[in-house]
Amino acid sequence: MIARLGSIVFLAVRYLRARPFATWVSIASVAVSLIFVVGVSLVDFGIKKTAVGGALRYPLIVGPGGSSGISLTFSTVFHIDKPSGTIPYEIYEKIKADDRVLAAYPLAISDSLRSYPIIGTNEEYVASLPAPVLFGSRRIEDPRDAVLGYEVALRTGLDVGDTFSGTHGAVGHEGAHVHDDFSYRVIGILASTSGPADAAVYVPCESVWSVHRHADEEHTHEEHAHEEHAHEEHAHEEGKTEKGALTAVLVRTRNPVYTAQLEAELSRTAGVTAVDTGRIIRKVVDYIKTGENLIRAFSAVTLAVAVAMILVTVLMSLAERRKELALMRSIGIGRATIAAIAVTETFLMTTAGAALGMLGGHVAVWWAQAPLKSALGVTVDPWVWTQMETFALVAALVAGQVLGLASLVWTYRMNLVEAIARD
Amino acid sequence: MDIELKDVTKSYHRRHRSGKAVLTDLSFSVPSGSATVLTGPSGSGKTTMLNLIAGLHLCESGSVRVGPHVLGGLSESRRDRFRARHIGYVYQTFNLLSPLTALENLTVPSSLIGAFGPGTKARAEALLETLGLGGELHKRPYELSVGQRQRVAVARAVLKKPDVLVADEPTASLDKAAAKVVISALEGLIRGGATLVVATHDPQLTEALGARVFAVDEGRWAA
Repeated sequence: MIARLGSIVFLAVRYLRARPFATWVSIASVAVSLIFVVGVSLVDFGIKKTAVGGALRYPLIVGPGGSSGISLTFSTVFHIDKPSGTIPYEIYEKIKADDRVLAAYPLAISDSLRSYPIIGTNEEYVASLPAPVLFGSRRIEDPRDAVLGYEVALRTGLDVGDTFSGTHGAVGHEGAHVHDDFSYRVIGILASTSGPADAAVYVPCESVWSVHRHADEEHTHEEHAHEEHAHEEHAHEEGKTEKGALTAVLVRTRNPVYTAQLEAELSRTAGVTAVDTGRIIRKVVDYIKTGENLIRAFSAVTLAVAVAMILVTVLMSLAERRKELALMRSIGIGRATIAAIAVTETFLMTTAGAALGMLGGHVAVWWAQAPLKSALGVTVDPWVWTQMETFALVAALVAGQVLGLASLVWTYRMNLVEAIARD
Repeated sequence: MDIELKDVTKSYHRRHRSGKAVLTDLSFSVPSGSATVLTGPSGSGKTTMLNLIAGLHLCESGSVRVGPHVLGGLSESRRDRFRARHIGYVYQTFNLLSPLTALENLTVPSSLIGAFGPGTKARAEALLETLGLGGELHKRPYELSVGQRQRVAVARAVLKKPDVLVADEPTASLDKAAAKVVISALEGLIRGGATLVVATHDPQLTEALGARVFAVDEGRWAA
């Protein structure tokens, strides 16, 4: 029995090798469709994980009046959008003093280090980040102290003890300038979280205010020379650099009811917008879900085309081999055994395609990690296994079996004996 | 195993139209362990008779019996098993499996019909060696000459030590020396008790096998 099974697999492999082009095109078509499914599902999973995990840590975000909820959430939590203005520091103090609030964290985002945002905040916020300390410390006590996210440290090559200066304005754009009169000192590097915390620099709020106060003084001295540069070229918004100005406050409330209350109350305050991040994230996830459904449908079509291609390849190959299959019958090889050879061929092709597709999808995402990070602002983990992958893998293997059945029906219906006897 | 064809009529139908009869009311019997040669012009019905004996075809009327097996009463699956156990068939066009080597053309089919034992591979190698193919064991059919392919086809049929061997022009593509080797292998089968039915025009083969000769013409015994 084992010898017979071995011979079935052996002969199936030999037939596949005998027509390498058709075999590899079939395998590749399944692999490509699965690479697509795996890639999309991993990116989708990464976005959801970052969006939900990152934003829901802070149920309420308070920012400048006129900000849209999505823009405020994206700039504050994911650091992919620019802050649209500032709010007075007193707002933060007022929120923090509220009994309904568990914790409130000030954020003052203005400058950047090689396009990574430098976030002015306080020790509590840095302590609350979900990343353990990799090197040094996370206690930003001195205004010059800076803690780097994992990716920032990796890309800039900065180490504990190194110093750097922030850049105001978009790097490489006309009008961007380095605050070289103020340098930060790296006191710690955080471990990777695969989230926004990896791509930010954390410094005390005081340093942000200090840097910009000094810059403003210089601007006053050279008022005319720099007027356009300061107010037009790189959105040096009015009040952004004033002492105590914040771009947002992240708030954790004691319960969801307080979140709704505070959102309503704060939104009535002049110059302030408060957003329930849960609602924003649900909206974002809804957008993603629509896209996801489209992608699922597209993936299903791609997979169906790939499977149809294998079916055509196998049936054509069976038709070409009609004479040889007939010969097998004539020497006593039964229909079941011949069908088993055909089924094994389809099984081997779909399984090889599925395996290559799965591996290829993960490798493709691993390879595209950096471009994805800069395009989407999220770190996509290439080595997780998603539900959609399971679905796609099962679909491919089931399709392979259905193809096998089609081959089986074909071999049973074919009058093999006639094929050889009439020769 | 003895063979008996009784009042056999066979015609080929094309798309539901009745065709011309290839064999008409034809009867003959072959004693167990003997050799019989069928001769006659092309299209006379020799190959059809071999196919009937091998159970590849069923006749429209009459009966075909091989040993205790009345082939008309067997299902397709049972006829597959019947061929696997009792019949060796040497085709005029060899019909080797193209992706397999000469040796594999003997061993893989043996395995697929459940006839592969511990000594099968060694016997296959020895048989091919005897037939002058010792240096061609690992060559594919397209790498072999016509005569070499013919000998592989004979070896495949002989390897399973069939009770009945049917052969269609088994020496047609061979030179005298190679034909002698093949004839010797067939003689060995007869000595082992097998029954041979061979369609051939080769007098050397007919003589060597000591076969009874039947001449067929247009589906009937020639006068």
